[in-house]
Amino acid sequence: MISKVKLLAAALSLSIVSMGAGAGCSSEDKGTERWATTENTNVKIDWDKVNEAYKAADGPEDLEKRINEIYEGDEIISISVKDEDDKTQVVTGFFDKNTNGTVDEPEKIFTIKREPTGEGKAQYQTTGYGAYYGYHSPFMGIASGMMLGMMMSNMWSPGYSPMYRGAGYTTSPSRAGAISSSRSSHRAANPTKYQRSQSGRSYNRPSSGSRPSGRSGGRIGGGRFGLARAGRTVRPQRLAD
Amino acid sequence: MKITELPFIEQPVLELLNLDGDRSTPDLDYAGYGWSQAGRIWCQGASEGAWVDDALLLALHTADDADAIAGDIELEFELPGQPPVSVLLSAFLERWLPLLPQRSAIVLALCNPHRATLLHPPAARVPVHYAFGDVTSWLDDEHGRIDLVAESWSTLRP
Repeated sequence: MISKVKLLAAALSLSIVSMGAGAGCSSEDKGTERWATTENTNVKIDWDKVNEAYKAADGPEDLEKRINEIYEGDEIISISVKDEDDKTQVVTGFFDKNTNGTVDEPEKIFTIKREPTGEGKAQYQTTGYGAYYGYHSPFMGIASGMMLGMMMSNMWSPGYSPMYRGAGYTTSPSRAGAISSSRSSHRAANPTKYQRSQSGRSYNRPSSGSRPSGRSGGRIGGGRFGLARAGRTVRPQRLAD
Repeated sequence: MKITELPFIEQPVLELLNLDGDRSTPDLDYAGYGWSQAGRIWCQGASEGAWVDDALLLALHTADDADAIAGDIELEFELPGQPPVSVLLSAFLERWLPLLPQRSAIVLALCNPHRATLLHPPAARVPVHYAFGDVTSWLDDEHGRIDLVAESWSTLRP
């Protein structure tokens, strides 16, 4: 154990930077594939993660943050949330190119429609638009009691009433700047997460010398110093002494 | 259980930071904690980084659903065979720092999801480096460099 530390300490004295470039990725452009790539944007969206983001989100602003952390391009994805009736909700992701804060049809990227299927049950489906046209997720079932974010689980809360009737919620143009800033920080702190991009963008990754791609290039991931605890109902006992 | 009874033990720095495997990305479920003495660590923020030499490294965790507490962070410790417990960082440092070796600096490998602005702990006599946002550990094994990557880093001076 001591020798391991000593060896490392010796190695550390040599240290010079090396962060950055990553493994490439395969390209698939079939609409029903989990990954969708298009000529138009050349930026992929991991639909599984988008679907999970909706399931886990605590509200529209949380969903915006999650979606934009998933998206690997430079643009900001705005979202619109509308409750069509008591339990049916439609989330639309869009590039607000004209910054008018509303969904114009050519700006649409995807919709997620959630609708009830019975007492304490619902389903949702994601559909791609524009450059992502052709993607349809399977219908994904959800039920009360599942580990869900507030955005979904609220509909089974006592006294629930739909909050996003009428104009609903839409990402404001002014909020896009804050999302961009938050995403830049996220990308900098998670450099390897964004190595899938085919565009070769660096995403503000800390500057570095060249590094061979892939694990053999010499970077080992360790751990994260936070604990995922979403959805638990019992908090741990706090020690005071 | 008292705070000083937590199994907060010394570990080799690579094991403490979960860098003794062969992962291409950090293990997001890693829950290990403890302390180590590190010759040199690179604290990388979004726009800049800094070396910290001769550090007492404390690896700790906070839960994603921990409450936002002004000037403090709620730590969480998984314990073998019993439910996890939480401790405020300030209380933890007050009890544990006097029990740990003195080095030239203290580095907290600890997520700070609510971006709490901390005060210099009275029990510390050296600069304390802590992060804002998520913290992950990396090893550049070509150069033997240990990275702690976060949104940004801050230094509290005595």
